[in-house]
Amino acid sequence: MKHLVLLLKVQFAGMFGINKRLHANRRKTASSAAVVAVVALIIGAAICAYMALIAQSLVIMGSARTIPLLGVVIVSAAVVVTTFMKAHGTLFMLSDYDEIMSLPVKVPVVVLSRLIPLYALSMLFSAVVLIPMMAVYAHACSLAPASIACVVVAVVLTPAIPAAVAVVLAALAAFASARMRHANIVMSCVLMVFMVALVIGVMVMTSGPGAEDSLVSLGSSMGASTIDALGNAYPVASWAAAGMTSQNLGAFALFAGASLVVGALMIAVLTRLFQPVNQRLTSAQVRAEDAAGLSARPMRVRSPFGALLAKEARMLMNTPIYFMNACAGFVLALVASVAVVVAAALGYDPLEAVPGEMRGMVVLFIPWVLAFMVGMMTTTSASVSLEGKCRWLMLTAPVPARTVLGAKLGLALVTGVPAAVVSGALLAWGFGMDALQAAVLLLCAVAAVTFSATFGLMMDVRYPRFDWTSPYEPVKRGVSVFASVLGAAVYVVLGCAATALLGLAGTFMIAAAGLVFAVFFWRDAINVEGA
Amino acid sequence: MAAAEIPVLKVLNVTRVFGEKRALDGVSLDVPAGSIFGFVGPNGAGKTTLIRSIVGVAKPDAGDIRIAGQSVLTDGLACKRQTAYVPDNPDVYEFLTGMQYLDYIADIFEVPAALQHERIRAHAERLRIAQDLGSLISAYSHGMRQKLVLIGAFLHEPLLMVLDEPFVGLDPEASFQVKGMLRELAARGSAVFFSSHVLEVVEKLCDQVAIIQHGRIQACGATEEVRGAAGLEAVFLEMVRETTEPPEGTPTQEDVR
Repeated sequence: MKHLVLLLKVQFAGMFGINKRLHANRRKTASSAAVVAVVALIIGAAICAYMALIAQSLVIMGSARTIPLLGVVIVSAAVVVTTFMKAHGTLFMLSDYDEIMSLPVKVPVVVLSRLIPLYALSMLFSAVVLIPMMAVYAHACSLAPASIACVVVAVVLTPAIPAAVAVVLAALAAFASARMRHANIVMSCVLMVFMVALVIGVMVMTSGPGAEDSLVSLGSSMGASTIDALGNAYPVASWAAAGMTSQNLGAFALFAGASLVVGALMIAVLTRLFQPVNQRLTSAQVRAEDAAGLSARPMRVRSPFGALLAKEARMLMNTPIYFMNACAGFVLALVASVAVVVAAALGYDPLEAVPGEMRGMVVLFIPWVLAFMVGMMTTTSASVSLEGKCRWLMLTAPVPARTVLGAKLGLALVTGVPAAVVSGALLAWGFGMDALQAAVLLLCAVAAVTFSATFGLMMDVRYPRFDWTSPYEPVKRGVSVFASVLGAAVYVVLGCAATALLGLAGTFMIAAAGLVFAVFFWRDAINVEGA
Repeated sequence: MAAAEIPVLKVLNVTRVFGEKRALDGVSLDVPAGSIFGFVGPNGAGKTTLIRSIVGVAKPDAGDIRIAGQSVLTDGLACKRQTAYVPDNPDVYEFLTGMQYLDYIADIFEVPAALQHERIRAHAERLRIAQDLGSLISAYSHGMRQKLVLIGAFLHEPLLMVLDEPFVGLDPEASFQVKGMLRELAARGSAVFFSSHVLEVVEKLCDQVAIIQHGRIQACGATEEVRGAAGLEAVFLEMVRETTEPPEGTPTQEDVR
């Protein structure tokens, strides 16, 4: 127990750079701590408000009884995805694996010290989703004391089964990819396929008989039958909901029991897999190339910018959590746009469910839907932080900061702009847009990618985090990443507002403004870094 | 001053302050072309702080550092082009193979195509790492990474080579080879500036040496002059003892003998 507490203290101290901020007495550190706190609060408040809004929509539709079930399903789906992504870097491929395994601490304690912070964050998310939804439910239907107790237990236990499933899947994926030469690249692809499959799976499940809408429109008009279908697909959620709504303690006990048993099984399985998987991952990378390989290599000289860009691309492809975080939006935009085109080609109307008079309005907002997908995340917002201990290479390189940062920006544009243009072109065709609408759509998507890339870069230059032990830390917990997401969200919201007020001209104006801002962000970044 | 007389490295009254602590307090020294300069001092004396300032990783609060007459403060890029740096920890991108890393460094320093392959091969074979260049760096031992960083540093044949504890982690043969490579580089007119705690190596390899303590240069000059008859270790321990009052009960040099 003492060992677990000590290991946990280190884990929590490292989380969000807490310890650094506690012990550094500098104005810059204090201001970055304030930014972290404000951004975290805003994001938390936004999620709470959004969840309450979804619940309120269900109350208005007369489907209040489905609120608890929907809450549990949302938490479960999110925990599966995030835990699967976090496992690589937190549980497997740890940079401090040798260090912790050489300590006189039992493996289960090491495993628990890694799992508890992971689970704590899932539990926090569970609270942020379930509490506002259940508050709305309580307001509409009132809650008995037994139900309130069930809600509290559900907040704690809901992530258990999804986390267990995700951890086991991540372990198997890591184990399978370990013998491959480029295990990290394989892992990046596996993560991306997993996420796309999950999203498509949820969409297919929610578009069965009786369901009019997809997950995108979950908030306002998701049918009660769809939510019930989700409950049938994942009965554990139904058991939890039964306890929270009708004080069916038997069903709730099933939920709690299943969560505890599966959670315990996860710890047992992970304890067994932790060492073999990590050993396999660390030893698998040794592959000598004979001397002939050295002499046979082609004479290929790149410019410093080309060399830096190639290095950035390798970093992206070899860091699964980075690739997943930065590029998922591009992949989803492409998948969604292809789906729209396929549906249109097969004779289905992508806007079938939208009333005729609303169609023009919906098409007007499509540029911002695409901008949201391609602009919310970017490679640049963690690219400086990811230099970590190797930043001496960047600092001693005989090239100006604009070349180093230009390569980071270049990668974001090389990955984002083609995805934006192809998705935009497909959506324009799928929704039958005219030339002007299509042009504005493409401009809007490209502007979102550029805005996001330059803003993310500026934030990461201003608030880098170099003292990480796992790339998960700068990618998922970095101040710059938080701020970048928030900045892109504000940009999209402003764009929607302008479009609502001014139509296509509003879209054009905000897109153009985004490009102008991008120039300022870029200049600020190279000035801070010292061009 | 004639070009030939300009020292490759000139440190002018450099001061660096961290909060209350003066990590460097008016440090000045010259490293002429063709010399190997040893920089020694106890832990926390300011060695790495000065080295980081020389290579442009950190800026001094006062003073100037000139490489071949150009200031690192005003002509940073020009200075970096002529300098190579080997840090105390060989942290390099683990997602690259050894060859990819060397290609990357050669391209960044714009080493001509015709020379890249020749130099990589020569240095890699000399340090017996050619067979491993196709492997990912994440699979390298500390010593292999150190060899890789050293090869990267030699690729553009720098005018100034700055090394922080370069022999840590190297096997005896590699250590021997690196010393030879440094001597050859100096013989071609470059200057080598390195820090080390291994005083025997400094004594044998360097023609000039400086001892730093509490951010101040305590002694600086030709190695023979600084070490005198007593040897560098004795001089070093004496200086450290003079500037730091040891805790009661700490064995003295005489006690150890």
